[in-house]
Amino acid sequence: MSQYILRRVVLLVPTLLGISILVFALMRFLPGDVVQMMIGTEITLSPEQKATLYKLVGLDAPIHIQFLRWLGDVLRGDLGVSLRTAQPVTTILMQRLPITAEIAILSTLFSWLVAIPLGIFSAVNRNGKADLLVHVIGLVGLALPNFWLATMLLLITSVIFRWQPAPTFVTPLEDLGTNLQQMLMPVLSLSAALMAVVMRMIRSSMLEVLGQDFIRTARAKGLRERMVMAKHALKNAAIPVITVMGVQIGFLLGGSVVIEQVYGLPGVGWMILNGIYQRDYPVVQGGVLFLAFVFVLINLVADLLYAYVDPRIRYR
Amino acid sequence: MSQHDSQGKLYSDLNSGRISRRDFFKGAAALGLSITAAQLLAACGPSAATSVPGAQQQPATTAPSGPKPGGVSTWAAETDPVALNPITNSNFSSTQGFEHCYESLTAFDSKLNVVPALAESWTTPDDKTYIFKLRQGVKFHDGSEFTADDVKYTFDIVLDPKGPAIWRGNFDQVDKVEVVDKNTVKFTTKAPFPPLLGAFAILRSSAILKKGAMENTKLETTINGTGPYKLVEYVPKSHVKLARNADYWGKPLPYLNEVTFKVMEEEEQRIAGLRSKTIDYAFLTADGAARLKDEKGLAINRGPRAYLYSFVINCLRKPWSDKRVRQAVSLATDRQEFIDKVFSGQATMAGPIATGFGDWFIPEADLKAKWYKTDLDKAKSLLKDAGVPQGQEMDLMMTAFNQNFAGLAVVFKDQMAKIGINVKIRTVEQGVFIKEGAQDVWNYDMNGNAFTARHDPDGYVYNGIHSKSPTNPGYKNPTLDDLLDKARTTIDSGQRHTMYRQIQEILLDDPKNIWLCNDQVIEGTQTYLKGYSQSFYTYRSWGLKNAWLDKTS
Repeated sequence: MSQYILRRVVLLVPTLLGISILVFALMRFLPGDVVQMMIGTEITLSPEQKATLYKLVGLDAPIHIQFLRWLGDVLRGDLGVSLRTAQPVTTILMQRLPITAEIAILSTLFSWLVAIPLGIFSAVNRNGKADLLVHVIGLVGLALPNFWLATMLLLITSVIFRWQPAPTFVTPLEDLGTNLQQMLMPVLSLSAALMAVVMRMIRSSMLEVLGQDFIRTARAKGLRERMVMAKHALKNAAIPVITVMGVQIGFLLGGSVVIEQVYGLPGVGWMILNGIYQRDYPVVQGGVLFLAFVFVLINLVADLLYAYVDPRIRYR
Repeated sequence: MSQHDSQGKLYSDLNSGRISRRDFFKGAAALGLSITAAQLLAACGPSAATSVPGAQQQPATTAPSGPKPGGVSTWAAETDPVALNPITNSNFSSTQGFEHCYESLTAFDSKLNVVPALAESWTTPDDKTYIFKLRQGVKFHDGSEFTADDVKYTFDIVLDPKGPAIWRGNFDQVDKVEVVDKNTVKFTTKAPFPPLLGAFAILRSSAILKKGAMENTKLETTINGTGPYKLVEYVPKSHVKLARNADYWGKPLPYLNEVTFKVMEEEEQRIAGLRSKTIDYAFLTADGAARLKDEKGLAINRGPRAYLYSFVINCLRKPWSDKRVRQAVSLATDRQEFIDKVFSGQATMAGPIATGFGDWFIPEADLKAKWYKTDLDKAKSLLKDAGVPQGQEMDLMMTAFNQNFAGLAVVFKDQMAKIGINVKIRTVEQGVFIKEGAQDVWNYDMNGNAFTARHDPDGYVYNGIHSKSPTNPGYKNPTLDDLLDKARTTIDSGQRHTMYRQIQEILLDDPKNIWLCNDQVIEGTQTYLKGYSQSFYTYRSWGLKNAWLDKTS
């Protein structure tokens, strides 16, 4: 097992190196650069002034030198400095990550909380009216675009309840109550689709497991139904669900950008998107590299969880 | 009588009502004062040095009991400032981010008059010399004293031909800046330069920095200015938090203790914030305002806005290099249809100078009567004369500067189809737009653009139009060049007005761009927010420093 983990960790290095080369190159392929963005469309500067600005933001060196410098800094744990705000990318990430991480974690937890019982319930009552209802709820959750749901929640809370949470983000440590109010609508908007997927996944996995011999054996030896479900069925049905959850959390870290924008919560996804607009290379490179790192780690954890839920799986 | 005495008599005559404002301007011109200086004097009178301009100019919005100091307020910022360095950023949202904290020698009041700021007064011994007497006892936010050295330091950076000042062009006629003494600074220009006072006020590469600030501080996210508010923190894409500067020279302004500009790029969020009263101010679109019209406790304020929508023509490409073709395009452009369909009627037709910009623009009625009558037959005949075939393609490059541009492109395509021009709309990302539209690339036939705040009429009609302007793709009109050169160095206001009228008429007869309209500043404020006034430029510094909360009303 430890050898397997070590191998996966070593594999991280070429993966992340590949990603960094790809992002670095793709950003340079984009037309325009940060100095052109600073100048905008209404004015023009002399070549001397432009040269000063390129020097000021550190884009005066040849591209391969820029890449090697950046890579060297990354190896020392320094993700560079934003070309627009001159803030270290790690500082920006640390400002943004709590927002995105909280949205991702709360959305995932909330969706599990609703989806797992509903999925089991649906599987147990297969083809019944309740199953149909859960099925419809799942379809609706999947079909609703999250930006639409987010906008509707904004409308409902402001028009009917005349309520909005405090506009500027507050961390849970500063004020938990205010923070949870701020999280309410983003989490609901994001959870709808997540819970639909997990619910359907749980249902189909459970159905498959419930038809197997060991479940019949468990029931035959007189085990209580609750025990059969929790200890035997759910644990075995969890493997594909864990895969989906791993991908979902990874997706949420970068993919909640629309929700972040609708609610004005400046998370990591928004940071990267804005970095692309502004041609702020270090922000995009650092942000993507960080997300890739987290994504790979989450997938590793998901793989290790397989071994926990299914002892037949052995990693060598 | 010396010039100084003559000026003094002029102010006292105006103040005592012995002469009209019009006569005052005539007299000022005769004394060789620039229009902006004259406006300043008219606005402030001889007591300007000690009074706070604007505090007396807001009687309509001030409750009988007078402004109440204190309170905390949250305002929506519709765009993120991106960075707060006042020297190296051209984006308007950046100025909106730092305008409450930095000041220059002059400022604009809510009526676009140039009023004293860090300079309490100035004299112009000749057409090329401005001597500014600086306000004494002004402190930077770090507690250090403001002196002439700081002015010299800032403008040495701005005037450096190899320096990083994005808006250096606003000061290209300034030859040198000299410190006369601790509180006096002298600007010498290469030629008579009437736009100078406005160039300070517009805060584009003109905010006064503390000596050494460029080298020693992170200007992108921190501010050490002299303005009414101190920057507490700027978190990009999140908020700009400001605290009242208790040492502000313009006491009792500002009134609010703490103001946060929360970045809310989605209008839906701004509307929800106004409805729930979690924010006190928000910029709105016409559609957004319509949705809030019946909302209790909310005021919707409207006024013309310095945001001039236009289609910019690349005159280096055929057939657009032909004057007759450009005229045909203009004749086939139905501006009213743009206003109705894209702006829900909330916009005003405009010529080369935005409608509402002082008294420099051609009024809408004149535009409609002479230049903006749609005439498809004449347009078709002009195209025929120019040998333009039916189905001529036009590469129209667009980007989403805001939600209106997509609509502009569609309406334009439809209108041009009526004269046989096949508009191919090419929508690109903003970075691509800037790259493709840059000097010497000019990869478009026409592009959809908008001109933002200008401090002088010259700003609307020189750049991109004069044959020597580096942003001009191939447009040449020697008569116009000559007039443009003369107008920017003429001090006499009357003469300047005549010249800029002629310039605009030439441009409408021989179009360089297809100017459409400027939209409106539409702002929603809670009715308990008093003292705020709108700005044509959508600057909010004047409005904010005069704003106060009357929560009991």
